[in-house]
Amino acid sequence: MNIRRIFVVLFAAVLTAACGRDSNFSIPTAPGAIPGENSWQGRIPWSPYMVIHNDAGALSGYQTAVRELMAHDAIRGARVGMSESEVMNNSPNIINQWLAAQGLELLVIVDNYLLFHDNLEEIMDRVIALHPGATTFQIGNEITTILPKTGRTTTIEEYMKAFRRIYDHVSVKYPNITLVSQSTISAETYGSQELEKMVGLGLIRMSPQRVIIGMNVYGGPTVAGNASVINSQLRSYRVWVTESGSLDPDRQVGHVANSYPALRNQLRAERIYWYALWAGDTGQDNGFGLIKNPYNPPLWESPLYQILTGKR
Amino acid sequence: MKKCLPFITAGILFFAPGVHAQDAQKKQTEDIVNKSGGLYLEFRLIHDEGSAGKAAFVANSAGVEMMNYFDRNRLGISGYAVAYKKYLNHDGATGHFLGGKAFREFKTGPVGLKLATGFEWGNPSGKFDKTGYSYGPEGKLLSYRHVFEKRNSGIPGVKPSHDAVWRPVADFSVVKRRKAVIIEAGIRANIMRFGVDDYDLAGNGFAFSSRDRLTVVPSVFIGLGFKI
Repeated sequence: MNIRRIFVVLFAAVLTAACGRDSNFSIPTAPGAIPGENSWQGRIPWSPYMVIHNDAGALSGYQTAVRELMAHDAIRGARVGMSESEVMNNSPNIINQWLAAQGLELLVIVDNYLLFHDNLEEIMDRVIALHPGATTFQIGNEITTILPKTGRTTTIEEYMKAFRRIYDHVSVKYPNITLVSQSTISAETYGSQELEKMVGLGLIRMSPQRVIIGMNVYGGPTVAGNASVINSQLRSYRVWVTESGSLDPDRQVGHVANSYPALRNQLRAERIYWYALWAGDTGQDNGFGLIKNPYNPPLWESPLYQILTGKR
Repeated sequence: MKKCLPFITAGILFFAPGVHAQDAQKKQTEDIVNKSGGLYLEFRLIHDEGSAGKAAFVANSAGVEMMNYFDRNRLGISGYAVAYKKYLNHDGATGHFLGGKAFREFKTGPVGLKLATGFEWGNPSGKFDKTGYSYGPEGKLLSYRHVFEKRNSGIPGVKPSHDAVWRPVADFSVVKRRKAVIIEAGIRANIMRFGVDDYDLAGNGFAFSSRDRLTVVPSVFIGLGFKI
């Protein structure tokens, strides 16, 4: 072996390895507020948004918790819903009204059942009128999977027709309002496949200036599957993860520490909404909540809640 | 990256058959090298470290290679290898890669120098996806950059589509084969295509810009194996 040739190969290899390298810069993944003593900033990569169920009986518990969270800059916005009957009766939701009055930014879910109505444009007018300060509205949630099989269900094809009608109406009448697409479910790659179908059914023909992609992601293959779709077919669209969390209160901190960076790095999520402040929508407390017992305070507080409010 | 390709190509062509006259001494040396032809199973640890679009990447993986050394060089190559590796990304469903390559080994003193080229194909680990966020003084999100390895392939029969990547690779390594044991250490050039997308939320609405970038991400690896 000619020694000269060895040097040529080594030279080529070194040059090859050096090509394409840029100077590294740090990539912050948490809001840039200045951390104080016992602050969550700098400790966990929290995103100050969460789901708050519209249960009027929980108002006093919510008031205590939200004020505490706001005092520590741990909540800036909430994903909220309202019932079909409230919209049809034009009756404001007391929880949503109180949250808006505190200055929180609301992402208002247009309930799945409202999408079965023929007069979708009028429905949207009503929902928007009931939330005068809100600028983001999510059209449905887990639309093909969450509705009980005993009642009316829908397909993604039917959903996209309804979404298109609402998009056309809102684009003309409410130029300041941004829509969020229904959140696909976090179940293996079912949601990713559904998101890909939505692209083929016309999502890609809606303006990225007017539509944000919604997705619920609790972990697992859903992250990789959704990344495949948004990094190929939806590159110009913004992404909000509208639900993420852990059923085990003792793993909530770990979920934020480990999963939130992946949701940001792989899905470029602008926001991650924690599910949920109180996960009592099924009639009783469960482990997803940051608090329990909002009907009859004092509140039970999860370890994550205590970190967010500077108590540990 | 275009500047890099000539170096890779030059390195490969330099040893290709017919490019340079083979003298008798060299032929004799190669014959000695390839006397120990046969199948080797090698376990590898690989460390990738590089950057694209000002985002830095670090990824570790472990793998296994089945190498078939010919008895003597054929069409200028000393053998071929098939490989499997798994990125250490704490997710059992992603980061699996299959590979294939042809190699040529040159005897020099007590060790051999090996040049290999081939490909890797698999579902990405997420280790090469990064997003950097820029916040205002009150924590308002102003802009962000998303850098990701472009999915340029799909796994047959699996949805969603665009869920896999295909990468050319080139290795240069030092090899010691003695009796039934093989020890190897080297560097690899992973030729990867990245998407670099910028999202600016500072103004009214948001601005989006996008570009693709072909980048060489270097790796170092060590391997230990045995003849089977």
